[in-house]
Amino acid sequence: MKKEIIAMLLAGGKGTRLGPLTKKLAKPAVYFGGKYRIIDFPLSNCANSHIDIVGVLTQYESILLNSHIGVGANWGLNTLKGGVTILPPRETEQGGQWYRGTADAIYQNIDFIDNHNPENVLILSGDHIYKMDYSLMLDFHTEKEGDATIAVIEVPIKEASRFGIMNTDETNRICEFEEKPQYPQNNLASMGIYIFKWSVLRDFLCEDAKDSQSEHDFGKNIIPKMLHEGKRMFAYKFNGYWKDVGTIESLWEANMDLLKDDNSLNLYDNNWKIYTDNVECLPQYVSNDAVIKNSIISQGSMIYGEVHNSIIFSEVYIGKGTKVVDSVIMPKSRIEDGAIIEKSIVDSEVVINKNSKIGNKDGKEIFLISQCETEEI
Amino acid sequence: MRDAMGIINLHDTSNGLLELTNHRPVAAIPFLGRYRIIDFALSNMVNSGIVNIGIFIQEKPRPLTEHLGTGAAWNLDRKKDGLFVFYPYYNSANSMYMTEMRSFRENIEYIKKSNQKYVIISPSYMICNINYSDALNYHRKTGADITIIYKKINDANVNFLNCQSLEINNEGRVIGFSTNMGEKSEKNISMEMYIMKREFLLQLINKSSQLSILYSLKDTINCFCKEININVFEHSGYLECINSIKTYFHKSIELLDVEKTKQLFKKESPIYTVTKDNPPTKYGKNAIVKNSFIANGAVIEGVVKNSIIFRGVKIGTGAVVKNCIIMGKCVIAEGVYMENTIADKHTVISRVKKIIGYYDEPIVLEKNSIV
Repeated sequence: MKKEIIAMLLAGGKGTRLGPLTKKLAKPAVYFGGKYRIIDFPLSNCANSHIDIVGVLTQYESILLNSHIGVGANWGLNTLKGGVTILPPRETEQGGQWYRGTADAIYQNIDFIDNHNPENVLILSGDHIYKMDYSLMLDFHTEKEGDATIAVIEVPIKEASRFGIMNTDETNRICEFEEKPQYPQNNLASMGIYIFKWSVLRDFLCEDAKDSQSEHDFGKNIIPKMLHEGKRMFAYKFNGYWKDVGTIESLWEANMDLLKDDNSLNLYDNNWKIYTDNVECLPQYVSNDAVIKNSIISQGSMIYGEVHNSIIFSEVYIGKGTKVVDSVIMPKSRIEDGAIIEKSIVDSEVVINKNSKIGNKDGKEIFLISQCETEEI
Repeated sequence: MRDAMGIINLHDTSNGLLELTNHRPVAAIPFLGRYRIIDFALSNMVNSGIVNIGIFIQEKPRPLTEHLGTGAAWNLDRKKDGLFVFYPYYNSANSMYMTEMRSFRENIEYIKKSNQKYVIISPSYMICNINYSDALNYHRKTGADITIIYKKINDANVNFLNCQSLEINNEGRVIGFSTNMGEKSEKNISMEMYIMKREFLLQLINKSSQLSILYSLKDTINCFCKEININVFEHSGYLECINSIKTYFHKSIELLDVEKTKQLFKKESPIYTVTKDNPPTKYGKNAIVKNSFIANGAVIEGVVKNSIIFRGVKIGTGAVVKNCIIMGKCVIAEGVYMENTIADKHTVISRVKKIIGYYDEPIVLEKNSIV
């Protein structure tokens, strides 16, 4: 039976710009939003969009990511004949090698996709925070009879040179694509979410694999080449919240966005829940001395101090007389009595000693306290 | 512990839980922000290594079966053994006839076909964190027919009222049963947890039907008390029995004492429950929260003191919640003042601006009520 669509989720990246946070962790496994990891967003989007076959391509530090995803049960993706398959690089008859780029990662798993015999393939990355109904994008793709559809979002024109920018005609057909242009003509940025007709993509991947000059990258090689050869490619406009969390600063910002009254990433929508691995612990305990203002706090935390404008993950201990302001405290960390933490990200399982002072709420920099070192970004 | 099976007996004596049990068995009453009463009995068995557990539902099955699902939350969704849920074959209009012994008889095949040598029977409403290994080892060593787990208490005049108490002789044998009416302070409270050989339970079930079809397990054991060898095993940790609105309310609020909570919730033996995939809790700019448990998915804009707030509850700006238990998905609108109140699931409070109960007599708002 032909499958309408399957998803391939690129989760092998290191995320170098996240510094020590990704020392022992792939970027998609980085914590976000009080109880989640970044990859929970695309996985939950798949589950909520009724896409039941998801291949997750892993490479860098994949153990934790593998055990987090498991068979996909937390997302309800462990269906009969469907589900999540983790796809690390493997040895084949021709030998074995690492994934050399995003396109190569898909190329090396052509047999996996062929086995499912899909009409279309959805390519996702594990770097972004957003909620999106991929089934609506698929409807658009089908209606346009396109070879490829790229999800785009309007970005401020001054930031456009950081993204892949699309120029489209009035039917939303893409006529030009520029990767990180110096002088952008447009502000429609690629979100790194693609739907390809599999038969078309398959040919391009095979050709690209033979090209020794290619970087085997969707944005740099595959998409420009398809456009050059006149394939029907459309831009699908997305209006919701979308954020790349590739740097310490953007990761902190995205967390802080959750505390805004008008934040459009509504985590409290019961019809589009974000799923993750759950922890077995008590509800959070808030003591008599605690002061909590405009903050998000997760299960199992014990709050004895002051928390302002901050995100506190599961099983965190906030001691007496502490003050946590504009900060993100990741799971199982302990902030001992009297410590002051401002505008910082504290990695998971870190102990902040008594009376220490970290960060500056009026300063520009975000402080990062990681498991291995203390470092100013 | 692989040679013991577990049975959770829902024949809880609980005529004091009124509104909270109108739509659900005691086992399914929500507890401490994210649990249900039965989670303790289930987790205790699972943490003791028991993987074959039967639950014999007597009445109002929906809330409980919804909660239990496949048993996956307790790691009981297994190919071999796992969680088994049984219902009465025939309903009787008179609840007197609906004893657990009757459920056992109707589903006797399950007990017969299980291949464990021992069986551990536990009620749902005894809240504790216990590992059965020591009790089972003791049972094996003494060779008693039945071992009853109990706790020595010295506040029986006010606590564990209506619970069963044991008369124990010098050799540690049970020689009589009575009901704790609060007439004295020192008592041996039966936790209604029984350890016996599976074969022995089959014999008991068989014999009880010859005695009377009205007999419960308690009655049957009581009846044979003189002929069989009943031993006891002492539990010294945390124990509370949820058998009335007052105990439910007091025992919940008392757990706000973190030292007490630590005795019930232990790292090495966690209490498992069903996850609802809720986002973390959001505290607004005007929130004031003191000495409370707050579950995920709640949105707190008002004042919360000495209270237990369940998953997905919304507390509006300026609302004051003091000494309250607010269950899942309740909405407390702006400006409402509540004290000593239990709001059952999905209650919406907006029109009535003041709800004040007494600590010894809390107000209970029934499930789905709109006030």
